[in-house]
Amino acid sequence: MKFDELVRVSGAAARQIRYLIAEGFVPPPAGGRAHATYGDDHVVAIHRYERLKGLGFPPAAIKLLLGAKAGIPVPIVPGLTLVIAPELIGGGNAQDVAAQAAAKIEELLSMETSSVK
Amino acid sequence: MSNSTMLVDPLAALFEPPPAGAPPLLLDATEVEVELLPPLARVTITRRFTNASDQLLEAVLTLPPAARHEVVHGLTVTIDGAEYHALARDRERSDLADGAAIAERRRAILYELLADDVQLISVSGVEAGAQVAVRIESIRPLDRPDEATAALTIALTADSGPINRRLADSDVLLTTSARHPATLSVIADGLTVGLVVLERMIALGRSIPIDCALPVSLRIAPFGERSLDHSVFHVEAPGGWEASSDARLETFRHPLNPGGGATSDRTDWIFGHLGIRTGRLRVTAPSPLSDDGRLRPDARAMAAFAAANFMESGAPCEGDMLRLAANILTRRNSLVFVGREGELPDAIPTLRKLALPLDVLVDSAADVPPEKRTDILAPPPPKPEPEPVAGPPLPIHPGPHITPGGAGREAGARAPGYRWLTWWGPAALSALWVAGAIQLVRIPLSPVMAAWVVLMLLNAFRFFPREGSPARRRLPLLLMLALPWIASIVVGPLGLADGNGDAARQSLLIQFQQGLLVGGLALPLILTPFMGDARRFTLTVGLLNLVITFLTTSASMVGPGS
Repeated sequence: MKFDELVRVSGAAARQIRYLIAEGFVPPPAGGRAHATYGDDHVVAIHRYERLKGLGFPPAAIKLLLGAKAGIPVPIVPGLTLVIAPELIGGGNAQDVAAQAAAKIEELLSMETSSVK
Repeated sequence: MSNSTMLVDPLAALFEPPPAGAPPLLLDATEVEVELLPPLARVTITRRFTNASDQLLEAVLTLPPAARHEVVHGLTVTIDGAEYHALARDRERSDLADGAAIAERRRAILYELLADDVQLISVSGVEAGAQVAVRIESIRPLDRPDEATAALTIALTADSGPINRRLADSDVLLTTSARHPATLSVIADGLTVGLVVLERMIALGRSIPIDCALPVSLRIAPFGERSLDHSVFHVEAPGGWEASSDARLETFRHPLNPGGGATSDRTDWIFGHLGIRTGRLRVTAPSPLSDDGRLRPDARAMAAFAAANFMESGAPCEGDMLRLAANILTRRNSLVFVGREGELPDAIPTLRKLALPLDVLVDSAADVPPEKRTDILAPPPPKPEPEPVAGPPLPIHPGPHITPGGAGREAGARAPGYRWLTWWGPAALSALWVAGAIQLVRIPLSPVMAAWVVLMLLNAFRFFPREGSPARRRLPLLLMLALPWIASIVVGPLGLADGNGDAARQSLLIQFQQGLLVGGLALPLILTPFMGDARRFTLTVGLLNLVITFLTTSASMVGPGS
């Protein structure tokens, strides 16, 4: 898709997208700068940034988190912090992943409980 | 332990070295030029920077909100010696033009107001190594801390914290601890000017070094016969102007100043006034519509101030049109330039933010010894001014003339208030009347019609142009609205039912009555564009008149038994 379509699909302002590309939050367009085209990965990257921004992370922290191989730590409840791989954020399959994660957390916590007993 | 249960340090990411991001562009120099024309001051600020990278850039500079009542009326960007002037256009169209130009690899310059009136300038198409100068022209009232002196404070930077709260990351105001050279030059006639930080008078007309991270605070006093309330330049001649904060000093004779001693047959003048804390500013200036490029810079600035606060003019003109012609930056109009095709390398520019110097007053006030603090902080910020009682729209703080829907209103027009009164009430009564007339519902029609007429009369009263509006002089034109139904009464009734009339004559007269009805519809529509602030009044009265015309022409065409 062309840039104006990316603006429409992502819902972000044009200058904000140019900023995100310039700062490395969104990959540069395919086809070189002269024949720039954008795909779903750009849309996901924009949504990922906006989501993290919505969670309260400033741009510098988002840059750190997205570059961290260990993932993004997000406190869930007291005593439980979830570390999320950056590529999962804004990807669109949040419900499936969340369901699997919830099941795994439940399993882990019940294992802990049984081991304590 | 399986991989799925392996522990991960959740804070590990935060201890990794920060990735290298693109550093902001830094300013090379700032030049502040002030021309004092009491009670106003022209302020021109030029900021220079260099694209030291090897990329084509879109440089984005975010500036603090303009000063209260400041009218920004010019943006000139110079790139390696080539000048580009941004012109006022509708904001939405400017955004679209700017975005399209960047996508098409054209040079694009955009100056717009963001949330809370934060100013943003985007210069797209800055070649590697290019030297850029961004020149902003504005005019604003002088502060009057007391009767004998005036003051002017120009902020070169600001505390980014409060400003950035509502801005997107691409639009935030960046600051840096790096300093750059800055200079100030002041032009004034018959005035002494002191720079507060230096605590001494400054030489007029010469460039002196200043601190780029401190606001420029000037104290101004008159000497000799010079007044802080009045400036004039050949106001009786085309292109001349006059500014006064004391109505008794105003000399140009116009309808709002019938006692003025300076008379002229010039018709290019416009008049603007603005309510401020200490009284009213009154400015007569050449109309920007007649600006053929030969106006003096001070006259052009005065024209912008008068247009922004438009009240009266020598020749009929609209406030919105004046503001566009005067090149004024408002929430509704941005300043934009789009370059020609093929001017730039075939590449999309990379966005880079420009940083302003860190605001010293915010950042290091705690480090300044108390005995020095008063020097730096003086003069105290001006007291908040009460809202003007009945002032025309303001250019930079246009709250009063921007409706939630974004539509503005002309100077002099009364603010429409209750929508039910303006639209829903008459519309509902009309629908009720029509439903009754075709017997969808059984209601007495006369009270409904009477209520409708009362509502329309109330609306007409609400839209009546206020005192001083030029539209009042055009109200006699509305007498023409009565012509169709007067003609209808004079010519009719036709008495079609008696069957004794000449059929050809009756047919001709029926067509005549129908023509009168069409005339009753067309006349207000024809008059409206010429009625200035009385357009809503014209439409309301025109609608009432159309109903009367309908009744008279119907009575003339329809006889008993029809």
